Amino acid sequence: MIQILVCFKQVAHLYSRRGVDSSGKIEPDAVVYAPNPYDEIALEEALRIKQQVSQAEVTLISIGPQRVEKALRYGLAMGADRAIHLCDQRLESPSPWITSKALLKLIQTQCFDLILCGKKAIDDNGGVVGAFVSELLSLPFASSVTEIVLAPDGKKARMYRVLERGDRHLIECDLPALLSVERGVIRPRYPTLMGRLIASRKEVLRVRPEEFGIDSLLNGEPKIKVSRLSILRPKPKKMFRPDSNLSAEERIQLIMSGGLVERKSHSLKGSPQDLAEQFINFLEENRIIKKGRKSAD
Amino acid sequence: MASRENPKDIWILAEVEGEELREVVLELASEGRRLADKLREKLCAVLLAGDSKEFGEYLSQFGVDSIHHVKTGNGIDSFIHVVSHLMSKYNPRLLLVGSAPMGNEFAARIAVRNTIRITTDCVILNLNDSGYFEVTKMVFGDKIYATIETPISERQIVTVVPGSFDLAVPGLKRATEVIVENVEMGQGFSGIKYLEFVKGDPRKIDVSEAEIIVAVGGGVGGAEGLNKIERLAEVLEGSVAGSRVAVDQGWIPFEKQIGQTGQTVSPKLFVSCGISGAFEFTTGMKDSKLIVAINNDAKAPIFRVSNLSLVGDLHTVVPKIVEQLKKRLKEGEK
Amino acid sequence: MTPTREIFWNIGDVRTLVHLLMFIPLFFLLYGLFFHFRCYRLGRGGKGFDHVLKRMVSLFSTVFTHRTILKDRYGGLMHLFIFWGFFMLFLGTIAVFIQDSVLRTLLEAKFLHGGFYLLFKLTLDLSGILLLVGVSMGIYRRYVLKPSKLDTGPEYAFVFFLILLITLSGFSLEGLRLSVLKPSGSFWSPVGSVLGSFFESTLQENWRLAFHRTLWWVHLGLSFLFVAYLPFSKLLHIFSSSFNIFVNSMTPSFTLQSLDFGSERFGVNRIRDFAWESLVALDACTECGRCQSACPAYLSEKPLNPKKIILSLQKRMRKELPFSFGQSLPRDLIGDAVMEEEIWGCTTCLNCVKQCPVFIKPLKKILELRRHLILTESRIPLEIERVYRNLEWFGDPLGIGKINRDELIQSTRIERAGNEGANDFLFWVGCQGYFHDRNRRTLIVLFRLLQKLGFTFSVLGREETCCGDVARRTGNEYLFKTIAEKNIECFEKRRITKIVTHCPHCFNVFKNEYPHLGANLMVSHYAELLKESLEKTPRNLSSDLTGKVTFHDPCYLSRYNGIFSEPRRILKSIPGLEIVEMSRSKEDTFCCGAGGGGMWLGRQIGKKMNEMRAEEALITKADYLATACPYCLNMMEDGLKSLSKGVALEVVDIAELLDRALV
Repeated sequence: MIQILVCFKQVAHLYSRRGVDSSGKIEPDAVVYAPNPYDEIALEEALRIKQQVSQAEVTLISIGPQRVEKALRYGLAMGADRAIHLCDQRLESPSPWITSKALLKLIQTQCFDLILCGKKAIDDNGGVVGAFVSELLSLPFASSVTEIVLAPDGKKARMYRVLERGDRHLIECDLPALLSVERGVIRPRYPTLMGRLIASRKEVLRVRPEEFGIDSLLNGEPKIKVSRLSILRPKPKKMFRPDSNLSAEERIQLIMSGGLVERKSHSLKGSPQDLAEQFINFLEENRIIKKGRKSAD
Repeated sequence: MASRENPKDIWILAEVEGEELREVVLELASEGRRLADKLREKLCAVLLAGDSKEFGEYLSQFGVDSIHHVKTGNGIDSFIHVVSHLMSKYNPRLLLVGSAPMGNEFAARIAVRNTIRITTDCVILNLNDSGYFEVTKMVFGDKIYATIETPISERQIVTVVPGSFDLAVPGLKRATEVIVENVEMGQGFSGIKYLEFVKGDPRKIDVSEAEIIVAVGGGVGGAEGLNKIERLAEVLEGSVAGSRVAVDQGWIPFEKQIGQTGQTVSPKLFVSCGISGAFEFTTGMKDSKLIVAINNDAKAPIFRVSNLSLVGDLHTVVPKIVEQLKKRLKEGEK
Repeated sequence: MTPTREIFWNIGDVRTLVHLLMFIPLFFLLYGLFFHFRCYRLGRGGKGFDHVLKRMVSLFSTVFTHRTILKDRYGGLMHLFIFWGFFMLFLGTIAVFIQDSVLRTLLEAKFLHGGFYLLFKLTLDLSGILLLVGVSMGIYRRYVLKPSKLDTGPEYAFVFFLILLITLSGFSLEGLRLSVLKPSGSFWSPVGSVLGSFFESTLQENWRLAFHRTLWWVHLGLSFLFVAYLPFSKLLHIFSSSFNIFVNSMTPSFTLQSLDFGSERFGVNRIRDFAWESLVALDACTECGRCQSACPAYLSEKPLNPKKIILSLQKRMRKELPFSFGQSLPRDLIGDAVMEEEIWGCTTCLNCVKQCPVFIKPLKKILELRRHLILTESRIPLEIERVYRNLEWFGDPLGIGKINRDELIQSTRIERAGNEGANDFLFWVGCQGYFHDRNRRTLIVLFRLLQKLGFTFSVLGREETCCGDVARRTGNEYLFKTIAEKNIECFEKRRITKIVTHCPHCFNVFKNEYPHLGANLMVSHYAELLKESLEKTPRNLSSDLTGKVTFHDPCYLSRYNGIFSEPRRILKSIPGLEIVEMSRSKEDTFCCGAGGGGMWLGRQIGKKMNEMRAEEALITKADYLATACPYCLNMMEDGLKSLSKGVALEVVDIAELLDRALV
């Protein structure tokens, strides 16, 4: 029986800049708590392995306050077998160090062949917990992988590591291992109704920090001190003035959506030949294509 | 986090990709030099494999004072081992690493082994007058900037999103010393076995991974126009995508739709052909690094977000571009 | 001699033989009917009936008045003639049989004599004529006019000719008999008399007698053939359609049933998943093709054809029965009898249900298939899956999020809902109104208008979420239930009982479907509200607003809820406007294409519905195209734009027109 653990984080999803004021304070209504999209993909990979191998069990592990349970139920509805939740109000937004140590404790209570996690969490945008945990456990680690396939004997796994521009490395590792999963062609499944009904009847195992002796850990560690949050880029690279012909609403929307990179918006007219030349020069200037060896750097 | 006493100097990781130095390294060097000057300290680089002579020249022109050249080792596990060793040997204040493609993993594992603070995906780095590093990154799904302050006495590793720092103007070569580091590899754990490299076919990869995208809209008109666009994408080695209109007409599959009801992309280069650029579309591509728009209508809203605006008929302009590009690229090969 | 009927005249003493022979066709009839009955029993659900009397009344009134069938003038009249002609002749035959077998033996009495008999004869002759006229109309339409909704296969021709032959042979028999017997009062059988004279003039008496004898057996044979053949032919509809009217005409026009979350299978993918009442409906199909010619998806050249779906399912049902030769194992319907792309082509406009003369609901079948795809298999089109995720996490199908609902509230300064009491009602804006620029403008105008007319109301603002209609109409019952229960809880918490909506989808779901989940609401659409207000308090409406206006009826307003006169009343009250109607309007309106997930399913095969509708609007040469639904408004504007006729006419909401006219 292959045991797969999936680290499943419920992230604070800020869906609109509207709820953030200029000092960076965020209104509660602007935040929606949802499963981390990368963790959903990790779970999907685990479920595919389960279908491939036929004798496998997928366990979700998560840390956080009470509200995390909703995300775990969603994961169970997708098809995970069990869920373990380290529940504590102080785990509202822990640093990667605390998260890793807490996950470590949970993982050590389980036997596993494979641990999967998402490449990063979209709220704090860290992406280090996977690496941290693998180091603490001395497990082989690969980041940004996709399309994981287990060998028939269950001792190795093959996968693609996602590089830039759609390139891939085909890599192999021994199990047990920890893999952090990237978005590729795999899309997380939508739970079936049966999945939801089964999930609602399952028990999410809730554990407390005291049981692992990490209670003091949660009190002690200073969190990452964010000195400020801002919507606008603090040190703008180049200023952008939106077109005054736009309506006020559209101008704000353009700014808010981050159009703060320099946009030279004077239009060029001319013959197709001229326009084509402009295009090529532009590509060269911006180092998209290399200038001909004839011209100097 | 226990900070070691008296960390010193700014370090950067000089990664080599194939035969070339990664472009991001020069950005790190530029910013690193600025910080080092403010602190009146050295800027050092760890060069993993590669030729110290050739790369040494570049690094020198960008202000690197000493290069620690690691000749042994092959693969990420050995590099991590080596750099960890160097971190504890030399105790730098700050190590800068490019975040893509494996920089975050690399930096994170070193951070754990040496118990150093780490911040990933930095876009702005600053040293303020009170003696604090200000590391700014994007959080909450890239909507908000968060600035984290740390005293310069605390060691840290920062991974940087390529394209964030302004390149300095390369200066005169300085007296850069090259130190060859021979580090005992030791046992370690085997980790990952590399099997094969699979090149991404721009025609098949997911649109969100493409570095160059050529997108079509209603203006393309049909199969003939689409053909011209596909040839442009081919010569640029980019992927074809489309607006909702193009998908509705059946020219582009839904997976390649860009916009509010489609995908959001931010490639290096986005070429928009025959797309008017309504808000529902631009919201899916406005974060692209460079945007070129080709449209017949000078008042098309797409021109508000483009870096280069070409007012013309794509059916005549695009073939011309393809023709000229092919010529230029052939010349470059000579 | 008093006029009476001698049944076996000239035939001989064959009464017993004929009575015995009768069992043969009867056997086939009963066998056939029983086969179909067993097909229905494949379905799920209890088998009892409530309100038997009401059902009988509904059945008889529908059948005898032909009110649903007469919606199609030609076809309705044709069938009316055939039905009444046949029915009277049938009654006549029964009467004769009763007299001949039962009464004669038991009571030695006759009732078919004297004056009554003569009237009887006249009625039957006229009925025969009616029948012949009807059948001729039928043959002409099907094989000469050849409308696309009717098939022209040989089986239909066979049935027509069978009926023709039986009728004609019957008349001939009458004629031959009258020509020999020459009873008094024979002019009470006009056709018989005419035919009689004809035969008399052409044939000698012994020839006539011989002909009569042969023809009599032919007539008997054909009648027996008719009875035996009935359950295996299109004629089955005599029983199956009637049965369906009995079973299914009582349910209200269209509501969906809630799902039983305790079962293993959700939705339909096998014949046995259907409720047995639905299977009865499948057999009732007379292949009239009205659903097909009313379906906007079919008319816009999509793969969907409701008639084909019903017949395909019908065929499957008949194959499913164990002792029928063929598949004995249950097989999936989707991918075999019905394709996925057909299922997703439907916009739930309800026209197929409205047009069907025998109360079949093709839409219901499609929705049950959708439920299977979504709930059991999670086989969801990408665009719809995105909508579901948005609904689950953000509370609206666009994924914009509740905080952005502020934008509308801030531009209108309407107060947010508190505990209701002071206000007349809660105005439910709907997601499109909050988030789509064009609809937001409409809402701002509508709010201003309502205030001008003296209404006080509040809105929920951030607390408002999607009404859940799109989830239900695309088959996601679970999501719908979750959303609806949350909304109902909100209404109860705030003690909201009166709601006025902008969007007809919200209106429909609150009015007709939320009550099944326990809600206690009085729901109106703003068109009703405006109309009432105008009637109660006459207003000074400016005559400066002039032009022609055509109203596009939203499906969910006119067909689902019968609201089509109210918007026209509003438009009529504006003195300068002249109302022109499109060719398909009111309950026959043509769908804009947004319903049932159509708004989000981008991939278009065939023509675009909104463009087709826009063309209809352009033909009216109106200046304004008015509507009362945010989806219709957007679709119509898009349609005109893609036809490059964006400036030809202005697409407006009726509130916007009224506001302009209200000084």
